[in-house]
Amino acid sequence: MDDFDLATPGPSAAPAVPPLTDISIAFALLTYFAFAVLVLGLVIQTWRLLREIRRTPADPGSGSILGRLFRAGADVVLLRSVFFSDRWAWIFGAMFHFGLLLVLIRHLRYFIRPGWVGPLWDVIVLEQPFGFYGGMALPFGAACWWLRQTVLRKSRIVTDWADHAVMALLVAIPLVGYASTISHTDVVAVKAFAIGLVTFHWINIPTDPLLLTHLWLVAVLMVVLPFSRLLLLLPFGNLLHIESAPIASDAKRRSRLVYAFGPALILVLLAPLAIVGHHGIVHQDRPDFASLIADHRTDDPTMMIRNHPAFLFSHRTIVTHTGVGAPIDSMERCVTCHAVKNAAGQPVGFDDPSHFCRGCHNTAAVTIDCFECHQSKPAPGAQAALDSLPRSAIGTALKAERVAEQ
Amino acid sequence: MHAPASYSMLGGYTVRSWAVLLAFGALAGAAGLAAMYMESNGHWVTGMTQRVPWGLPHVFAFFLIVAASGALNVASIGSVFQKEDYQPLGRLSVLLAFALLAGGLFILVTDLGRADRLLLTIQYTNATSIFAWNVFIYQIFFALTVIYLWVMMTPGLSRFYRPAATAAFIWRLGMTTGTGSVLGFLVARAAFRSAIMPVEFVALSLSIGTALFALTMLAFERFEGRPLTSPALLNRFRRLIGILVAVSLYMVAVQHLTALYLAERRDVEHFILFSGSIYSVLLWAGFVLMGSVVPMLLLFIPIGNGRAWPLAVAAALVGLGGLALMYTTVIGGEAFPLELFPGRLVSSSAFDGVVAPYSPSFVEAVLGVGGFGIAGVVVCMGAWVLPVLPGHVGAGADQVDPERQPHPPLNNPKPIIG
Amino acid sequence: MSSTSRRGILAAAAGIFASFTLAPGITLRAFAEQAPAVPGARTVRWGILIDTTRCTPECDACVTACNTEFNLTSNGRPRTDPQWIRKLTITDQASGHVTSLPVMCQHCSEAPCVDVCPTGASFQRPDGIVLVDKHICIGCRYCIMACPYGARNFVSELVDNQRPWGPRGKGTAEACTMCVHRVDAGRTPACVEACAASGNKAMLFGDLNDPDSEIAKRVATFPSAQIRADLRTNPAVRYEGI
Repeated sequence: MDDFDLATPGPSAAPAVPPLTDISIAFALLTYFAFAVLVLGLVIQTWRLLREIRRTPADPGSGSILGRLFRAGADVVLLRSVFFSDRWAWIFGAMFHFGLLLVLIRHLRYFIRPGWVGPLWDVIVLEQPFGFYGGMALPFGAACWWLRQTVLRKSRIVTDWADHAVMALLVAIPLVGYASTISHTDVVAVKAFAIGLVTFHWINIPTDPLLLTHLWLVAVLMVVLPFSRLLLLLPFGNLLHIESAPIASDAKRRSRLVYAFGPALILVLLAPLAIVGHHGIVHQDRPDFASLIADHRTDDPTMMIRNHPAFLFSHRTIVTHTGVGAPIDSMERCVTCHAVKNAAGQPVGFDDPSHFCRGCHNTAAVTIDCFECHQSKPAPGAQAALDSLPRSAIGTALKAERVAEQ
Repeated sequence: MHAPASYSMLGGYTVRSWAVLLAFGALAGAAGLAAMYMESNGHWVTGMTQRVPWGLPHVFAFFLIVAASGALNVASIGSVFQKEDYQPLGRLSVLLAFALLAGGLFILVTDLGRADRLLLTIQYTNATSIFAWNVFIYQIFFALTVIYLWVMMTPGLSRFYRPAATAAFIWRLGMTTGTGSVLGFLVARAAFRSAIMPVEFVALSLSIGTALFALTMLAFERFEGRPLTSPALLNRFRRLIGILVAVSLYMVAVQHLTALYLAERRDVEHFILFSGSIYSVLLWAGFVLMGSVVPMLLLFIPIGNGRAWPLAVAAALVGLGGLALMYTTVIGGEAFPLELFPGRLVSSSAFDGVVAPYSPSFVEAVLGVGGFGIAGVVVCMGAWVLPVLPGHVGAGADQVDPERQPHPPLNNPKPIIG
Repeated sequence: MSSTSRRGILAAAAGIFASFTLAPGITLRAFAEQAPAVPGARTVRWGILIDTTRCTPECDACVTACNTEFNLTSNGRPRTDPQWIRKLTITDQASGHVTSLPVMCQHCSEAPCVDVCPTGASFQRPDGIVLVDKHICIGCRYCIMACPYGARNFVSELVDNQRPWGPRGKGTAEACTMCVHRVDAGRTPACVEACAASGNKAMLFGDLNDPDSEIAKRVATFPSAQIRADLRTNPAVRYEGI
C-alpha cells in the first residue's frame, strides 16, 4: 500500500467516511465550473487566434516558416522578443512564468495517484523543492510586473481595470498558497479532496481558511482569464502582429460578454463564500509540544499530519546537542511504536512501501531523509516489547490490517 | 573620457554556434549524470577515499574559481587602472569571470555528499569557517559581476562605472584570498598550513585567469572571423601574461623554498618535489616547465610578432600548468601521510604512515570537465544575447545599441534561422 | 521612459526584492534551531587515558568492540571503509622500540574540525565530546581534511544496518562519538569496556575535570601526553608511554 488514502478505509477500526459537507459540495461544483469555463474559453480564444492568423498576411521580411516558428517558440519559452526590447519586463516576466511552471508541476502531486504515472511520479517528487522556490519567484515576478505596468506611463495608459484585476489575482494567489504551505495545511486531506474531484468520488474538503481562499481565488482567475486581454497571446506577435493597445472590436466584444455573463458569474463565485460564511470555519490550534512529547495518541489524524514535522524538529536539535535523556527523546522509540509488520511478522524498513511514514509521504510527494541516517526498523530486542507499547489510532489500524492479513 | 567602442553579439544562430553550445552543453549534461551517479551510489564509486577526501573534481573546482577571479583582471586593467586599450575587452572579461565561477561552484556543489542540503549553508553558518564565509563571498561576487556588466552595457549608468569596477576588483581579491585560505587554514597537513597559500592563489589567479581570457578572446576571434584586438594590444597581452606567469612561478618557488628550510616540513617537501611520484612530475614537468618556462619563452621572445598563435599556445600551456599545480597542491598534500608521530615509522590498517593511494576515476574526470562545460554554456549564451564582443577597436564613436541587430559575420555561412 | 519613473520602479523593485529575499532568509534563520545553552551544567570533561605499555600489537579488542557497537561493517573496499578507531604500530627508528596504541577521535577542545565546518554540524558538547550533527552536515569533507589525527570518516556507501543508537548515513561525515549514548546513560565506551574485558586493561575512561575520578588522579600522578600536542588542539584522549 503506497498510497494512504483516507477515502478507502481499511478493513479494521478506521472511521467510516463522513457525509459530505455543504462547503465541500460548493467548492467541488465551483472547481468543476471554473475549470470548464477556463477550458472552453481557452479553446474558443485559440480558435479565434488561429482564424486571425490565417486571415493576416505574413510580413514578407519575417523569414521562413521554420524561422517564424522558432521565434514563436523562443518567445513562448524564453520570452525572446521581450528580452531584446525591454530587459526589465523580461526579467519580471521570466521570473513569473518560470515560477508558475515550477509551481504548476509541483501541484500535480494533488491530482495524480502515484500508481497512475509510474516513473513520472519520481520526477514530480524530485521537482517538489524546485516548485517551492518557484513559488517565491512567482509572486515576486508578478508583483514587479504589476508595479511596472502601473508606474510606467506608456504601460499604464493601455492597462484597464480588468488587467489590473488579473494581475492582482496573480499576486494574491501564490501569496495565499505560500501562506498555506507555511501554516502546514493538511496536504493529505487536500490531496484526498483533489483526487476525489478527479475520480468523481467526492471527499470533504478541509475547512482551512487559507486553503479555501486559495481555491476560491484560483477559481475566480480561471473564470476571468479567458475574457482577459492578457490571454491575447503576446508571444505570438511574431506570427501575428498584435498591437499592445486594445483592438477596438475586441474591446466592444469583451464588454458585451461581460455585461451578458458578468452578473451570473459573480453570483456563482460568491455562492461558496456565502456557504462558508454561513457554516463558519473551525481553526485548528497548534498543539502544545511539551505535552505531546509525553503522549501524542490522538484520534484526529489531521493534527499530527499537520504538526508532526514541527513536533519532531522541536526536539531533535536539543537531543542532538545534549543527548538522549528519556526514551521518547530517541527516534528509536518512534520507530518502535510505529512499526508495521509484514506478512512474515517482521517489522518493515523504510525501503518497504508499507512503512508507517511512507504511507502519507509517498502520496503527498514529500521526501524525507530521516532514514538515510536513522534506523527505520526497531532493534531486534525491541520486538518483544512491541505489543505492550501504546499505539496511535492510525498505527493501530495499520497494525491491525497487517495482522488480519497474516 | 574615452571614445566608446561599438559592441556586438555573436552573429546569428548559425550551425557552428549551435554546435559549440551543444558541445559545451553535452559536457555539462554528462557532468550532471556523473553527479547523479555519485549521489545515488555514494562516493565509493569515485577514487576519493578516507585519506584523500578531495579529489579530481576539487582540483578542477579550485582551478576554475581561481581562474574566475583572474578573468576579471582584463576588465580591471581597463577600468580601475584606466588602460583604455583594454576597455573594449571588459565586457567579455566580466562574462567569463561569471561563467568560470559558475562552473567551479557547480562542481563543488554537485560533489557534496548531501547536495540537497546546500541551502543549509545559509541558515546555519559557522563564523570560524572560511568555507561558510566563501559561500557568501561567491554569491556577492556573482552579484557584483552582474552589476558591473549591467553598468558597462547601459550608457545612462556610466557614472557608476568606476565604483562598480573598483568594487568588483577588491571583491575578487578577497574571494581569491578566501579560496586560498581554504587550504592555508588547515592545521592538519604540513603541505597546507601556510600564510602564503592565499597570496599564492591570488598570484595564480592573475596568470591563469588572464591566460584563460586570452584563450577565450582568441577563440571568439577565430569563430567570428574578425580580429577583436589590434596587433599592438596582442603584444601587450603577451608581455602581461609573461609577467604574471613569472610572478606565479616566483610565489610557488618561495613557498617551496621556505618549506624546504623548515625541518618540520622537509619530509612533505621531499615528497612533493623530489619523490618521483606523479605529484613531483606534475609539478616540475607540468607547472614549472610546461606551465611557466615554455610559456615565458613563447611570450617574451618576439616570435610571430602580432600573430595570435604564440599567445594561444602559451595561454593554453599556462592553463594546463595551473591545473597540474592544483593537482599537486591539493592531492599531493592529501596523499602525504598525516604526521601523528613525526620522525617515527607509523603503520596501521587505515593507511597511516604510507602515501595514500589515489587514482582518479572516470566519473570524477567527467564531473571536473563538466565545470568547463557549464562555463562554456554561459559564455556562449551570454555572447549570443548580450553585446559583449568588441567591435572594431578604436574604430569610431558609435553609440552602444543593444537593440540593433548584429551584422552578419564576415565569413560565416548564411544563418538558417532568423 | 523618464528617469524619475525608472528610478522609482528600480527603488520599489529593490524594496520588494529585498523583502522577498531577506524575509525568507531572516525567517529561515529565525526558524533554524540554534544549539541550546544548558544552564547549570557541571563542567565535565570526558576523557580517555590509554596506557600504551599495556597495549599489544596483536590485540584489537577495542576496534572490534567499536565495529560491533555501531555495525561498522567492511564493504571489502579498505580505502573507503569506515574506521572510527584504529590500532597504530609506531617504530622509533633510532632505538627500534615498537609501540602499539589505538587512535580514535581525540575530542579536542580546540578542535580543527569544529572550526572549519561551514554549517556548524561539527560541534563540541559542553562535556567535551565532539560530534557531527548529521541533520545539517552537507558532506563537504572539510572536517576530514582538517583533522590532524585522521579521525573523521566519510560515509561513501548506502547504510541500512545502522544501530538505532548510532545513526549514520551516506554522504555525511562521522567519527568516534566516545559512545555518547552509553556515556549519557552512565556507562563507559565500548572500546574501554572491551579493553578491560580482554585483560589488558589499557584504557581508562572518566571525567578529567573531576579531581576525585580515577583518570584525573592517574593523569596527575603519572606522565601522559597528547598526540601532536604541539598543534595545541588539546585532545581529551591522553596516552602514557609515548
